[in-house]
Amino acid sequence: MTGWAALAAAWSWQPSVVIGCALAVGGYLGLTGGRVRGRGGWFLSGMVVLALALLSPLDVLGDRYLFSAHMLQHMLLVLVVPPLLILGLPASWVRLLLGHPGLRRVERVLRHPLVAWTVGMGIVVLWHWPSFYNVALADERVHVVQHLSFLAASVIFWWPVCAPLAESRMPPLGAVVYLLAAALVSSGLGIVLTVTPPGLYPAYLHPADPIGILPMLRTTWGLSPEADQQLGGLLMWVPGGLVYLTAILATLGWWWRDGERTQAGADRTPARGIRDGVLGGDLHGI
Amino acid sequence: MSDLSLPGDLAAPAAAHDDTGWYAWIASLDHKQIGLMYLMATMVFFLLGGVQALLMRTQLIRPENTFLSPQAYNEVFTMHGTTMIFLVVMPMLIGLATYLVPLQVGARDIAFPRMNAMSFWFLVFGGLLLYYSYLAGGAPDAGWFSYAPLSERPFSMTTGEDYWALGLLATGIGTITASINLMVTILALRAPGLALTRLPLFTWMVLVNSVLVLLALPVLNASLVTLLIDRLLNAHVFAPAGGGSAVLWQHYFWSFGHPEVYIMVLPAFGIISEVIPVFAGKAIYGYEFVAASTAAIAFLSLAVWAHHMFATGLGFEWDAFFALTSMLIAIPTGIKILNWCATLWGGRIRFTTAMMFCLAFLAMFTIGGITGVSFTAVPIDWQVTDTYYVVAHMHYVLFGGTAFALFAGFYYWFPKMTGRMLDERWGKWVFWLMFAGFNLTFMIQHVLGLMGMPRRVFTYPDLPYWGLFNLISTIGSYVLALSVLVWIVDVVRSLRHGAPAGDNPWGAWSLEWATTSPPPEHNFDRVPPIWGRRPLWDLAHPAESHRPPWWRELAQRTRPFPMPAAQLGMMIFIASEAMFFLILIISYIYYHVNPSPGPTAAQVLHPDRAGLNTAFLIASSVTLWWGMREQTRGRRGSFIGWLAATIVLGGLFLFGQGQEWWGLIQSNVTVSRDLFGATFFTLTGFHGLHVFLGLVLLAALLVLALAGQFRGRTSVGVECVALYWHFVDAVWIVLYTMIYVWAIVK
Repeated sequence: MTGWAALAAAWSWQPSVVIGCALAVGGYLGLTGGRVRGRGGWFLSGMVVLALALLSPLDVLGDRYLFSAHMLQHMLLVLVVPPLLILGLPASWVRLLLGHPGLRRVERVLRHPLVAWTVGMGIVVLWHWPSFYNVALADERVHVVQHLSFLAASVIFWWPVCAPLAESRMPPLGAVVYLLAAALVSSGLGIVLTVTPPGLYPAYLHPADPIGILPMLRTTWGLSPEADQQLGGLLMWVPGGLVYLTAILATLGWWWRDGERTQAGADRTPARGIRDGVLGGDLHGI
Repeated sequence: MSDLSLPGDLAAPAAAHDDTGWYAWIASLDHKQIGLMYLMATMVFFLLGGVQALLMRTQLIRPENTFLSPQAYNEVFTMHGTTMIFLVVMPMLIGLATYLVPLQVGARDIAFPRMNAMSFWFLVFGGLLLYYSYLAGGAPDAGWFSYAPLSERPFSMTTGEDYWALGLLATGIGTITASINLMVTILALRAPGLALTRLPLFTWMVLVNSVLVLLALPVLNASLVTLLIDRLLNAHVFAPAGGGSAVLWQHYFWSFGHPEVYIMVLPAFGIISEVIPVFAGKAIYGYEFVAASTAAIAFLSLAVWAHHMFATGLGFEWDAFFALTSMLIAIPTGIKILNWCATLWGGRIRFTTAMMFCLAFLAMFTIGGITGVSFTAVPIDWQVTDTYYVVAHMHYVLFGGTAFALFAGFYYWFPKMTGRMLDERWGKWVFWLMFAGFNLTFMIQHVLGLMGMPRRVFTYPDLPYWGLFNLISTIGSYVLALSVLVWIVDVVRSLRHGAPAGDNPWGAWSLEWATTSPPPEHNFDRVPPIWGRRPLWDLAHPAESHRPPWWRELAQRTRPFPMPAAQLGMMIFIASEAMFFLILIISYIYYHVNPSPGPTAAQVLHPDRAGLNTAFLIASSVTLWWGMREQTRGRRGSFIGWLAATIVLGGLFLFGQGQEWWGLIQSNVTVSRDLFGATFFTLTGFHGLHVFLGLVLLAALLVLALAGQFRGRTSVGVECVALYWHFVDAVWIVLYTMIYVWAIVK
């Protein structure tokens, strides 16, 4: 097989991931009664991205060959999947869960901006420490823990920014500063990865070649270990930064739209429910 | 036009201030007087910078000219750039904001009036320091950006560079404190009803701009102190001859320098966003887009600095990514231009002088923006960098852009500031002379640059057309100078004989027009009710503006800001200090990862002794926290005791630091020995300075407490000092981990 064909065929159908995603999607569709208007679209997109990140050839590429591919996979897990999933949560579900006093206390602690930011950024920065990252590359169980911790920490990070309930969210301008600070830290980490000489993560220097695509990567794609590490750093830095910028602009957009709605429509629409949920109300009948 | 003034307009008070002599101005704490002093000082520097420009253009009037010696020319272009950027454009915008922002948010004064005065006097001090260099052996001559190693000792032996760095440090501190002041004013001192979503666009731009200042200016300050340590204490952080990196200076400088150019343009965008709607008779089109794109520009401006370094050989990956982000930043800027054009579309345009400067801004800034985007094509940049093409681009955005916006703002707000109208006929002369002179000077420089004429060189050979084009450019600069003279005459005439302005001569909508011209010292006798983005328009059109019923208006009143203004100010200050330390930390890490010959951390440091020191400092945070708890429980005596304990522990830390330094210096580990020494001492030295200042603050608290202050359960002053002290401790934890643990383990 040619390099491209070998790569395209290298999907890794890990049972835990397949079953987990199927359960999540099935559960969501079941509980919402199959009606998937706007909110459902976010959730399903998030699940699709999650599945692609973990099952598609990107997984093999990142695990075995390219630091930059692994970086892309992690960015999807940290920056794309959690906000999509959170945006897809109906407000009524969240209110139901928060009815439980223990959960409510936990949520109140975790949603504090300083806590959420430190947890979110801390986990990301920590896992890039070479000692930890290399262990995750070597041991598959640690790797699973790494991915799960990325997802969990990122859900905590994005929660105060785009949670469905207004009281869980921090003030919009605060969210802008929150996201800016996160962008600065992730840019800083990306810069460090870009300028450090290759060899931070030695497994990528001379990878084993299970599916026979290494020559294609090194020559056709031109990705020497040095270029690969630089590219990984640059991906975290620039496209990563742009995700935060998009989130900032979206937050500002919601803020102004909410302000106008309150201003112009407050006299006519009922007070209850107008600010429920970032996307303006939950699914009917839930 | 009084149809938009409040019913029952109160007459202007007899005298705005009790005494109006020189001393009253120098000692003034009123934001309006300080703002006016900013404007007057920057106008003086503008004339100085303009004379320097004329000197350069005169030297370049013909090939092989001998009007200025090469050394004199180098000094002139350095001083011209430095003056115009740091002593004219930035402080003029800050001065305008200082004057306007409290008025636009309906406040009585700026948040911290004494710090406001300090900011202004630091500007004056910095400017005097910079210009003193002429008397001290020669002005700086290494360009306004002072690239290493030219700025380092063996290549710049006079004290000019030292004065450059010191002067900019002073003005930089003033700019940072002014921005803290403006941010806190906007966040915490708004009139009821003025939600942040209803801010006038000038104020919004100042808010975003302040964030940029707080991120960028500390980077400059850290670079300047490092340069001074290189020059005065013989370190080699930026000197390749001693193992340092000259490119590192460029990275640091442009990490400041690129946000700096947006700092110089965002408030100008704010001026345009205020003036165009008023003279088009329409609200701004797409308020949210203009505001959001400002945030996008500010964000992206932090990510494009290396486009000033395409010619330094960073490599393909860096070049490609920075080209991409630089192209991206054109998008939000273009969005703004389109919104301003859409505001004009269908409006009833009044061609006042202010409006004409705005219209010229749209065209000139777009031209400058387009040439800027042309640089993002890296191969084009390689050809035209350091030529007159860059000079043309930069002047189109800074003069055709920012300066034109400043003149528009001047013609728009002069009536408010002085109570007198400027003459529209003279204004039209100023405008057309300036427009013609400006374009004559700089348009042709695009061609000169593309023909290969390099910048910052005192003369040029007699190549075909070079002499002619330079002559045209020089003639243009004289026309520009004439326009400035006409403007000065207009200002002086109008101050004496201008028509009285009234509260709202233009029929504008923001809060500054709801008071007299000039405003009384307390700004407003009565702030009008606010329920939209154009308070005075809404007031005049209550039905169309959907004025909510009184009870809903009451409910929609902005809640008071959740913390005291002083505390917010301290937190913002701490954020700026964090940026300062970040640069010094990066220097340390860089030279740890790229070591030069000489002693290293692992060889000469003692983590255990430093660990004891660290314990003292952490303990001092604990004692302070405990003392404040005692204060909230009403136990003043205990509070005072714990406060004293904090000071003692902090003093022990400093003593330990001093011992460690003494030991190192005795064993010949110094700032100049190697880069470990340079970065170690710089980092721990500045931290120690912060600890010392913290101890001074704590001692002041102790003295006040002993004298009977702080009788309540909480105190804002104590809270603020505590925040600072905990920050200093947190920084030390980072430093200890990095210097004594990581750097030794690795």
